[in-house]
Amino acid sequence: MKYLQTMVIIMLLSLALLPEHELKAATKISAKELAKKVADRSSNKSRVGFMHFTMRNSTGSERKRSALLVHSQIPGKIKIGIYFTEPAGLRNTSFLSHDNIDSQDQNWLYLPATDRVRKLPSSSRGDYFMGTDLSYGDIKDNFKFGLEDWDFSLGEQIIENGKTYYLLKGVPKNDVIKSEIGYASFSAKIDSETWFPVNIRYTDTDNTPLKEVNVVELDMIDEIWTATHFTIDNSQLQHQTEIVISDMRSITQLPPYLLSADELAYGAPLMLLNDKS
Amino acid sequence: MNISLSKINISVHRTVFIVLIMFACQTNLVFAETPSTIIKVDYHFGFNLRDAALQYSRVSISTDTRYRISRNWLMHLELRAETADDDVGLGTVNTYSSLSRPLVDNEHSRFEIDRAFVQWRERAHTITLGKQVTPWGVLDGIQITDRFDPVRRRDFVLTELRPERIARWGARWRNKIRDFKFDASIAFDGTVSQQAQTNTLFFTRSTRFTGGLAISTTPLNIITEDRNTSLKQSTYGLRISRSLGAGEISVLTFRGPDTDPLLSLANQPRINESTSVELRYQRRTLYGLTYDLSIGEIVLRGEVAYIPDQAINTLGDMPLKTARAERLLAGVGLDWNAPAQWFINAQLAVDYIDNEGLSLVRPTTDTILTLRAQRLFINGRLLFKGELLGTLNEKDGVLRPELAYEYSDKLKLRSGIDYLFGDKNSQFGQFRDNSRLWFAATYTF
Repeated sequence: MKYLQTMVIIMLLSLALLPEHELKAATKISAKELAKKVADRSSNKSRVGFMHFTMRNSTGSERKRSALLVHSQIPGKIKIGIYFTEPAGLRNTSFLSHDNIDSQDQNWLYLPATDRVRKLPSSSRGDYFMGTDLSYGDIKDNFKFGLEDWDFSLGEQIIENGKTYYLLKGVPKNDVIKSEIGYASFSAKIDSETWFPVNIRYTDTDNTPLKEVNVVELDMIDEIWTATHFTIDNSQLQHQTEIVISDMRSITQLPPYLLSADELAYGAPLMLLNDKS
Repeated sequence: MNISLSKINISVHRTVFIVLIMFACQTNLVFAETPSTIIKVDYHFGFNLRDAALQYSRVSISTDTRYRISRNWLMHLELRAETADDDVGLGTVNTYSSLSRPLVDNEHSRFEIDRAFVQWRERAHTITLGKQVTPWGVLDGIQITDRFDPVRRRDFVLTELRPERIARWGARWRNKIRDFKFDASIAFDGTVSQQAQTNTLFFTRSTRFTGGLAISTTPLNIITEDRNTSLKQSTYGLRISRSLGAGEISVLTFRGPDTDPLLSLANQPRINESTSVELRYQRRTLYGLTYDLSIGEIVLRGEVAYIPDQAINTLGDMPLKTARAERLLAGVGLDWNAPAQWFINAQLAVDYIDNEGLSLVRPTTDTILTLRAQRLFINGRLLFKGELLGTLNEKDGVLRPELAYEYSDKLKLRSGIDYLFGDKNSQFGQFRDNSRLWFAATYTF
């Protein structure tokens, strides 16, 4: 009996001394709470950095793209500017999207050869983004799963190398959303310390395995967890996209005029990388 | 390249400009933050669909250099060298002002400045000085209000981009004041649209373009009105835009020489003597309105232009009579991200000339249709593009299927067919014997 009492005291003490994050991991969490933790994960209001894409097909042939990415988020609106810097054939081509919550989304493209900024029809969230294996929806979602788009369920807990991961699963709330996002389900392995998905598997609208996203490197940039190296493997197309992000930084004061259609023609705002904000 | 020094045509003021540009570039190298140069080598060749004879073969090397001198200053220089020994040719040069002419101009090769300007910016305020374009309008390739710049017509409309603009020397000022965007431009340069050279494949013979003259039966000596750099031959205009609903509306006006010619007799023809025809470029004013609007996966575009004093050729007792008439152009266009990742572009335009009391050499109303469908395959490596351009009232047009394959990041291969059809005296049909199968390779580094 005394032995049992000692054991209980030791267990209670151990629990009290556990680091906070391990306590969280051990806490029971519902699927909805987990999805909310992921969705509420801090993200920069404005950030800028280079994205380097490498696209490989089944024969091993590669294509590379580099672009300056400028991302800005204000209530009700997400603005993304992508300014290609490599290869030379794409240099000075730029793309801008305004994702509005209460009005029409707007896209523009500037092709240097045409000398004109052209308004583009909004792409469906399920369309592939510029030859990569990412969809427009993936880019906008930024490793989050829209609470209004998915019904969530919780899979088993995984412990790897002393770290706890949750398995979050989701199916679209209805057929309209399914057709819009191009996925019938996802299954994501969520790091319980960062609330960042380190692996996501998607199935297509027919529920056939489609692609797998693997986060290779996660860095804390300006106190925000950011995936700086990740891969997307499309099993149906036998195609892979590898994305490395460099020189990423947050900007506290992004000039309001910068992410506007008229600005696209003036090229990549590289000065943002040098500005002190 | 067959460049003969004896044929190099560089006037004193052009030399001064070149020296200034070269000096500026050198100075720039010291201060530039991000000097960037793109070099593109293009080889195009094509065979006639009827007899499989080589129709055109053209090599061009172009450079695009941008120096960001400082946060506010940018310098932009684009150069182009071309050589061709074929039945299409490199186009007229006498349609250029003396300042804009190619620096090297031989029978089969040219070297010219495509763009050369410096640009100063502070927030939404921009001033651009130098050789530049003013690309107004929202439709694709159909020129309703987009008539400020002259264009290249040596290949008719069978180019990768439409229109192929020709830059002119001038100044442009842009600013945003409250909700309004202002864009004022002046080109001091009298350059007009480049035409195909006489007797080359795309030299226009349709009577609507020859002032009613049947060129095949009338020997012609064509003279082009002298183009220079003066206020008299300048083009100036202003565009004001603002957002309206989910779109943007613009009103614009400009005045300057028509970029397309008016034909007039330069001499009274005698028997057995060729007729001398002068191409004149009369000044006209254009008032325009444009609007484009996003509705989900569709973008709608619309343009209207009114030219109260359009100079035209008319039919009469004497050949090449001329008159002024009111001209109204209107066009609508639609871009659609269709299912299965197809992109559709459709445009319809009407070009009307008030013919009260006049006998026109062209139809009173032209109705122009363009349709384009394209889709990417193999993860964006292969592009299929199919395009139909035509005049509904004349039942002529061109069908242009094309495949473009991105072999590597640097090398792009393209091939396609330009199939022209219609009456031999119509806009497209005049070139129906020139239908072709073409190939192109572009290496960019």
